[in-house]
Amino acid sequence: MRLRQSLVLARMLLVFFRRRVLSVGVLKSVPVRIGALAAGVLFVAVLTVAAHFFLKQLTERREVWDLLFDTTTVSVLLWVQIAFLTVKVLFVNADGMLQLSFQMPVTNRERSLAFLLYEAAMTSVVAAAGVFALVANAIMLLGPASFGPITVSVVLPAILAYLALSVLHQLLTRVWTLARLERVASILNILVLFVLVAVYASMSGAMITRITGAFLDEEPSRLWATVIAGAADDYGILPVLAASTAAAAVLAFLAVALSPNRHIRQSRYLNVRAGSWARRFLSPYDWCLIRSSHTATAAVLAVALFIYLLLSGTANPIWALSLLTVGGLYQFTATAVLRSIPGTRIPARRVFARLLRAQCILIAAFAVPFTLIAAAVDLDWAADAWQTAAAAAASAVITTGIGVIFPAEKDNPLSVFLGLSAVAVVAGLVVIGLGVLSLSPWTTGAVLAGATALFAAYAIQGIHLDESRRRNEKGAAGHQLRSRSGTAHTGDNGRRHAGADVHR
Amino acid sequence: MALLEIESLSYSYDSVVKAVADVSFEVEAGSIVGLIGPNGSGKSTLIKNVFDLLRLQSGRVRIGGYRHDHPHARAHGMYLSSNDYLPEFLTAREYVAMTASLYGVAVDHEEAADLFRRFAMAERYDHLIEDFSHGMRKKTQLVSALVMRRPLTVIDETLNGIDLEALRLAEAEFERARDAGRSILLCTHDFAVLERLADRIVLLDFGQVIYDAPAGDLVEEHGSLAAMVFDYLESEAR
Repeated sequence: MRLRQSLVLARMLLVFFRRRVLSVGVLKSVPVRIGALAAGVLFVAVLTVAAHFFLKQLTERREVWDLLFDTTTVSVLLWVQIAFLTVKVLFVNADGMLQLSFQMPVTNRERSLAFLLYEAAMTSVVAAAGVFALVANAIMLLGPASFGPITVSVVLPAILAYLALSVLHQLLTRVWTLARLERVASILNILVLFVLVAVYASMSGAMITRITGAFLDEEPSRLWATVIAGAADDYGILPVLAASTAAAAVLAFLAVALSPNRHIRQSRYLNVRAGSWARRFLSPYDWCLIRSSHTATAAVLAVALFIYLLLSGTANPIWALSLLTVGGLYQFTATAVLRSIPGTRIPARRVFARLLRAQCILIAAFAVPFTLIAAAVDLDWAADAWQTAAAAAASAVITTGIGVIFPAEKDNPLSVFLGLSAVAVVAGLVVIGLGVLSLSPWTTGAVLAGATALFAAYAIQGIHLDESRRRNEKGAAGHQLRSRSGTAHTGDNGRRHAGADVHR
Repeated sequence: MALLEIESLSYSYDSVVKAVADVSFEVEAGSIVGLIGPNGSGKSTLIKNVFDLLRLQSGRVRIGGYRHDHPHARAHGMYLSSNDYLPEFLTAREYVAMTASLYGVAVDHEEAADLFRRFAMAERYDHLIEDFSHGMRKKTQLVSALVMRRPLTVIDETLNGIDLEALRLAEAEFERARDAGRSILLCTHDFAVLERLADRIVLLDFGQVIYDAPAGDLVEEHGSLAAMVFDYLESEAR
């Protein structure tokens, strides 16, 4: 295996990411890209400065720094899992990227290593953003003495966790392949990773409590998450560094060795079948949503959340319906092909209505069993079902609108994430404003409904603009003719010299 | 009677340089017309104007006697695009049904399934288009056009990428369509196919009509369509 080949390919993948993922949809706009980057940098900077004022007082208290590093290890592991999951979600449909590498002189193993390096680079950016505040302050306040704790509490756990997740991912893919589910392996892997993140996140609070308790009792906290730092305390940093490097090498080897020896194209749509009555009722817009792999993922998560809420009783489980609207984020771009068929031009509001109808059908299909099951457990839940259904419908309007205003071109979810963040900020401000005004529930409901209607109107205008751009509505016939040299000639009554006489 | 009439059509993407410049020609009922020209000569732009996929900027287009954006005109013509951009989330059966519903025709799924079998895609009629190869998507487009039986079918390089057996079958079906009084505007770089099928040839270059003449006359004059095109491309007049 040639490392150079993998490095060249990994570099090309990063360029691909920059140009095809970071520069499509709303991200085409340079001000938007700069704004998003500035907001991220500002957020990390504010966290770092705030942490600095807090940590400055603790510079001399090494035992408190140990506590901080131990709790950071717990959160680093969570950050790595989130970053790993995010990268997998981002590239669940990035077949185009894989196809780029097929014509290159690289072996399958070299290709796998390139993807491992590329994903590791992406994961480290996300994980680094999560621990930057502590690490930067540790270096500033403790100097070279911080290198050891940073290595055993942040760097090594992050690397080993990432590699372990890669091995798990490859093993899972093998299992799905054996079960003849290879075409949906990516979706299944994401679901498993999501469960893993959820379980770990629910455990991390208890782990931090245990670490803090051990600190107060002045006892060592023996947790699996902090085993590397614990081993460094017992045996010294060098043996731990050597053992961790060996473990990382083994895991990296396994991750590459277990990768499939051929590319398996992932299904973007599942062949969900329906009876003839449904075929008559469902339109192509409906099929697009129902068969989308995004909808399948959302449906599994909605059912999981429904069961969790049903068993825990922390909230009305029918709220899980809102998760189903995730597919709406991708629906506008996915149905563009339907609008490009001659003779299918319809007003923008009807396009929006068709997109929304599909979501409403999906919500209704799940609302009925959810309500019946919830009613069997607690009748009050069923009585509030109209509220949850209305919220899900409003959520459908919002996700459909985000899909129009922040189109997920080529299934790129980054643009959608940006749209979700922007809408979340605006919605948060509206909710805070309404809270300050202390309006009656009906007035609050009316304001929220009005805001949703305004958003829908804005999305409809977006559809109209998209259609207008596609048909070049504002273009004029021009006045210059083309020629072989590429130089445009002013037309002689609309005819170029060479072609002036049509041979008939 | 002319089924498709294009009169003085000009189009520009940037409102300055004409991608199509003052193009006029007709497609008679019961005829096959070959539309040829180098890449970027304006063929696809012209076709998109005919089907109102681009807003007409200058000139006039009529299909079956109706303005090109009239619903009746839409019902007369069918367009098979050069790419294989089909709704991947539908099965072939659903795609054919959707197309039929757009044209308001009752589709015979048995006939479509039989064409699938003859195009070497037996048992794939109920499969998702997502799982189809490039050639299979092209053949799906062709089958849908064949079962719709529109008076005018415009085929924009759809024959490129299909296998020889399918090409032979498609040629036979096109001839049957012509015999039944339907017309085909065939945009292709395959001169041999055009020599076998086309009644007329329109050569477009830099957005302008260079040749618009009976295919037989052009072959007789130049020896072959390929010789005609290559002679023109290498000519000083160009």
